[in-house]
Amino acid sequence: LPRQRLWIVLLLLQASLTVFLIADSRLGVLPALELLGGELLFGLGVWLLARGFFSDPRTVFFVTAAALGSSLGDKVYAALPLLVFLGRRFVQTGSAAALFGTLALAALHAWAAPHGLFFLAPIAAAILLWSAGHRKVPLTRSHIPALIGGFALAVAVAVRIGRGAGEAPEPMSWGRAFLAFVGLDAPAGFLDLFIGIAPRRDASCYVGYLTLAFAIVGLARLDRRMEVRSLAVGATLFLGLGLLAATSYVLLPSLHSGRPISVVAPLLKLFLAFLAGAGLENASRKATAAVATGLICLAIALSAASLRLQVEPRIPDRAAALFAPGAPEVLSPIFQSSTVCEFLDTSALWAAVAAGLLFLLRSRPRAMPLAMALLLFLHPLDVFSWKFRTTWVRTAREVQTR
Amino acid sequence: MKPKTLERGLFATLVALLVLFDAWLIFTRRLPRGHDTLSLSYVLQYLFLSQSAAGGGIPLWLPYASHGILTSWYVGMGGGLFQDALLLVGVRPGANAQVLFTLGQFVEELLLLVGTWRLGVHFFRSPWARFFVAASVVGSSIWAEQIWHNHRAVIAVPLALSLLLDFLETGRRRSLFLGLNLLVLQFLGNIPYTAVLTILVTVTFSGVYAIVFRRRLNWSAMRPRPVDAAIVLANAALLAAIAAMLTSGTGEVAFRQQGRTAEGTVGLDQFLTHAGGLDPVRFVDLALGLSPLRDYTLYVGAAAIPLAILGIALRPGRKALFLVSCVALVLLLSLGYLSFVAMIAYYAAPPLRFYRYLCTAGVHVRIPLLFLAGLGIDGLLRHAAAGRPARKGAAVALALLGLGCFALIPEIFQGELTRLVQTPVAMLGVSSGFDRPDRVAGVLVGAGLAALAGAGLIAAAVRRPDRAAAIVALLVMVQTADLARWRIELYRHRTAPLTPEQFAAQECRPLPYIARRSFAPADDVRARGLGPDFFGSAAVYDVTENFIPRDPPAAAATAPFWMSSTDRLLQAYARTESARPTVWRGAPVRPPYDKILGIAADKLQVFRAAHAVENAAELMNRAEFRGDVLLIDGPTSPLPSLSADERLAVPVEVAAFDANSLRVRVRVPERAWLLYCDAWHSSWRATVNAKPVPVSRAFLAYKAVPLETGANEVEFRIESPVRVWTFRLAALSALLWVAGVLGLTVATIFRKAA
Repeated sequence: LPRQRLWIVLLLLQASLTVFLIADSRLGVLPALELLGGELLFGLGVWLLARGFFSDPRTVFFVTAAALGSSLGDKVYAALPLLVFLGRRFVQTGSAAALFGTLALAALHAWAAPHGLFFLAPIAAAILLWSAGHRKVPLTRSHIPALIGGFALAVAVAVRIGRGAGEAPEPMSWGRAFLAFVGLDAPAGFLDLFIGIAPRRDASCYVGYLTLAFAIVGLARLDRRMEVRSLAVGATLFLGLGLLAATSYVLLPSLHSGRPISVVAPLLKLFLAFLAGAGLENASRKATAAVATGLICLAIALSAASLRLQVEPRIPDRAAALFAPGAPEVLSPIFQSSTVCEFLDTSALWAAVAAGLLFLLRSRPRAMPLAMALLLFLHPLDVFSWKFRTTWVRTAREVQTR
Repeated sequence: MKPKTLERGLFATLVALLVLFDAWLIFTRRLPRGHDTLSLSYVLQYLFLSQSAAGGGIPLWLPYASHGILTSWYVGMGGGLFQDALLLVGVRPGANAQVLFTLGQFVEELLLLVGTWRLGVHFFRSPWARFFVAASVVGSSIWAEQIWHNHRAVIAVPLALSLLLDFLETGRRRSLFLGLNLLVLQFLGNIPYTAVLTILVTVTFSGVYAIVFRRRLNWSAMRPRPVDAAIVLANAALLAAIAAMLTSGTGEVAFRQQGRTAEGTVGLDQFLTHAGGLDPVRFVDLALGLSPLRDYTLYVGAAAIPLAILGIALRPGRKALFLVSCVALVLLLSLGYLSFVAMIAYYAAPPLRFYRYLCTAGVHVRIPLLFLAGLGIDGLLRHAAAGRPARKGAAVALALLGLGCFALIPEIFQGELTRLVQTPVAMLGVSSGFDRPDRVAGVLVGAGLAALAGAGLIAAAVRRPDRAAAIVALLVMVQTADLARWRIELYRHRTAPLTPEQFAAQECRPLPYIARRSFAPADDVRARGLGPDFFGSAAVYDVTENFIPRDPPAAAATAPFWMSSTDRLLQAYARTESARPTVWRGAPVRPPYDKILGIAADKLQVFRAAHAVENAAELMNRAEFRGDVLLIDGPTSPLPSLSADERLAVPVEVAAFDANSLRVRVRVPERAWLLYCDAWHSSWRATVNAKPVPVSRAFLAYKAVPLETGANEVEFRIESPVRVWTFRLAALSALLWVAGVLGLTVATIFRKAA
């Protein structure tokens, strides 16, 4: 399949979400276009970055579909993949344009990022670049205009952020802020990786069952050095950014105005999407079979949970408390018994489909083309269906009144 | 046996099974218990056939539904290829509607069978695979109480698809013409929005086929030719004719249905969620045959899903890719808001905006799924020694399914399962009999035995690949027997046998004239006998009153729409703009409306004069108005006292009556006016002593004509040449298709060469 066609498929899917939001009066035209812009920036970054990691266009498509389909317009990291891509470009080629692009994008991103969390994406990009371990490029005279341009933009951003300081304080202790920013105030939220119901309003970990499956397969296939390195990068991102966010929260009153979002969830998803790409390109029969069996068990568990909920409708209240203890306002509106059951059963269905595909993939070489074709067809259906339904549940149709 | 002989023999076996099944329905005189099949499809068919048998052509009007309504939309909903063909050639008086209904169902099943058989040519080499798929598709595509969503929605899909695929592969224009023609005719015998979904599904399947098999297609032969314009124009003309037939005159209809706009469309939220039941857990019914709902079933035979998985494993080619893609798209569409397919479809296919029972779209999963299972059968035959793990897996899955069915039986008798599946589902009714543990257990035992038999046979195929042919034949027989068992069980539970007296009452008889509106039950065998057994539960519609027959002020059942003239009277009575005919239900209608509505007085009333007024609603609600002064629409003229009595006590003799006309004789001593308390519509014409007279709108809603001094013969007649001729055109197409289906059936049995 030509690479461009695959990218167009993703563009169309993302654009159709925007059309749906506008046509159904769920979002104004400008906010919807703004959302589309952010998502396209994110998607384009993932696509370009993935092209650097994977040679097979199908893997690039798979990774981008996973990242874009599971993104719910997370502004904090919208520019991160493109930042890393441009940074890598600069490090690899010494291109002044790439340097200017990196700095400008970092500054512009900081301008748009909510609640003053402007520093997270550039820092995350820096950590990822550092982990990539490329050679250093000496700065030359040709880089000076790019540096000046980037510096000017950074000053403008600083002025803007300085003007926003001192808003409604809702102080938390440093420790609590740290837990909140890394999502450990309600660790059950990470279960969303396996259940796909997006229980919280502020973030979700769902990346699609095929992404999850291939991420596990990918982790199993990495050599020990790569494995340690990946985990180290993940832990650094996880803890370092949470630490920074919590410290900033305590020091910058402007951060108090917004709800502490889960800092790690979007990064976790991005990380898993790329890991799944590695898994897809290096799948072993043994690991695939084990993961497929696990997915079957997961599907059964999800169905059983749904059946249990049908019988005891009070369970969602208790489960809801797990996902957001003491903060019911961050719970997703799906926490009504029938909706939760529908979500759980849909997740069970997708887990079973993913398991079936993995079994087909490992069955015999003759089945590989069919398995890959189905993978490329069903994977976007899974993640984008999740994205559409989550958006549908979280938005309401604006009633037209005169 | 030669493959050709085997193929013909297998096809003939399926036809024989269908004949036996429908003969059983006719000879045991079975009629579905209530819901849409009976109270709309069957009742409308009876009314249409009766009118035709009485020599009145097609009924354009139903007099005993919400004070008289147009049949426009009902022409499509109540018909079907066989009925419309019958209406064109004429129905013999006294023909039995139950027999004709069953015969119509038989013809539709033949259409499905022939289509599936032909479509099978594109996918399978083995006659056994074709037999398996045809037996499964035909066997599973039926549901006694809801004929539209389960049966009529799918009967044309295989044949239309095979014709369209034929065009894609060969460029043959005849196939394109026939495929499009069959799709257009889906508006006959269906709810319009079900037909829209059928067309969308068929076209989508064809599109997926074109993408998956793009290298196999004959693109050069598909280049546009002059004849294509004729094909498109001919079908567009037929579509336009059907649209005119269904909608002509409906501009004067009041339509207020919750969740729908005045045009009948629904918003995205309604489209995605209406009627609920979106949870994918319902697809368990595919393997168990235990639909908890009245409105649809998904059962495809216990062995079908494992065989479908086997099909993917043993024949992992483009056919499998095409079929899995079709299954996935339809399944996701039926999940409503749980997937984006439905959201995109809503905007991409605007006619879908009339559709709002998305969960029922799941029935379209059956055909591609069963074709996948057919690939499994083909794989078992062609790759006798390959895919041992997949075969073992299929055998184990079937064995687990069988054992699971038996394990569930104690739960059923403890009421656990029933309670679980009867969780509240808005709008969709819970199936009758599902609360009967014995019946549920019976279904599960059948499915369990079939699953265990299938498991044993697939296990045998693993051990004895040399006996693959015999084992596959047995497997196909088990599946056919399983579906036959399920179908008979279903019809035993969801239909009831008519007594000889009730059966005789199904003979097409002329519609009797009812002089006065009343809530009292009619003294008729259909009212007495069928009422509690058949119309006692689930959906019943106001058109049923014509079948019973009785003429109540407000139907005891659902009134989907009524005439806008009646609506004006309703608004005047209820003093609100959002009233429904239900305001006349239950409590006695207050004077003077009891006279105006034809309750306290006959529906035919004679007045000395008629008085044109512009504010009839306001005058009719004045305290002094007693309903004895005839008020007609027009520029206000001088009025007598509203309390005056201008009625003339003269007898009105009904000389002839049917759905489309009323002829009466009345003698009056002076010039007078005749009021007929039946809804006014611009299509009504009248003659008095053979001279045309204008039909005035009286009391906001009804018809009135001036009489001459002395003897008068008055005829009211509804005329709509557009509706009549467009119906004849559509019915002619239906007749040709019925002949074509019968011809194809005979040809498939007797032809010697492929």
